[in-house]
Amino acid sequence: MNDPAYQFEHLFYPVAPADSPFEVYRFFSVSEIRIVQKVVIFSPINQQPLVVNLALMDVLHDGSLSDLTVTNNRDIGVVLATVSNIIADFLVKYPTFTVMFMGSDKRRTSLYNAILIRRLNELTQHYIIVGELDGVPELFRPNQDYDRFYVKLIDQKL
Amino acid sequence: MRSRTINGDLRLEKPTLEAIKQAVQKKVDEANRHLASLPPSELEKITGRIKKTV
Repeated sequence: MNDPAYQFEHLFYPVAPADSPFEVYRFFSVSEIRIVQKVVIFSPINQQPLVVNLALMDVLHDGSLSDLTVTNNRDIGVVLATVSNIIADFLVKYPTFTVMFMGSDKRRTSLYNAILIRRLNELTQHYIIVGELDGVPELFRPNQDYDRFYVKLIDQKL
Repeated sequence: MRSRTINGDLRLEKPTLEAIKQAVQKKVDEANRHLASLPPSELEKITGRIKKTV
């Protein structure tokens, strides 16, 4: 977790119930030509109460959100390190939850796959990383090109 | 969405809850459908407790 990363903040929204794992974080991607507000949203999934969906989105000028824009701030490594830190923060608050995520397109999914491969030794010190390919989840293996990912804390009590 | 400038730093208003919910609803629905389609044995790999091995 030592890669350069942006500072992030937790945004409060009044949603019920109070213990809902619905959480929103934001940070700013900064370059010489633009500042882009990015949000990371953890949304509960009804089907599996202990799984949350992670979405990384840009806030557009009209206030809408998009995960299809290409920011072009040449800071993707910093952005993803920030998201990694945010996931860690979320799992401290909700240690029994599993975070599910995937790219909004194949290019982004492949990028996430590559980042996980690069940081696998570091991440698996604290987390269980599961990759899913064609509906079959398994412990993340570096030689696979998964289409969906899951992250959860290692249960130290077992 | 540019609201103010403080000490030269651009501050941007946070998105509304409505905008957030609208943006993620489709993804959450898809995630619900996807997890519902997985057999219990596969779900266990995702949500089950796993012991740390060294």
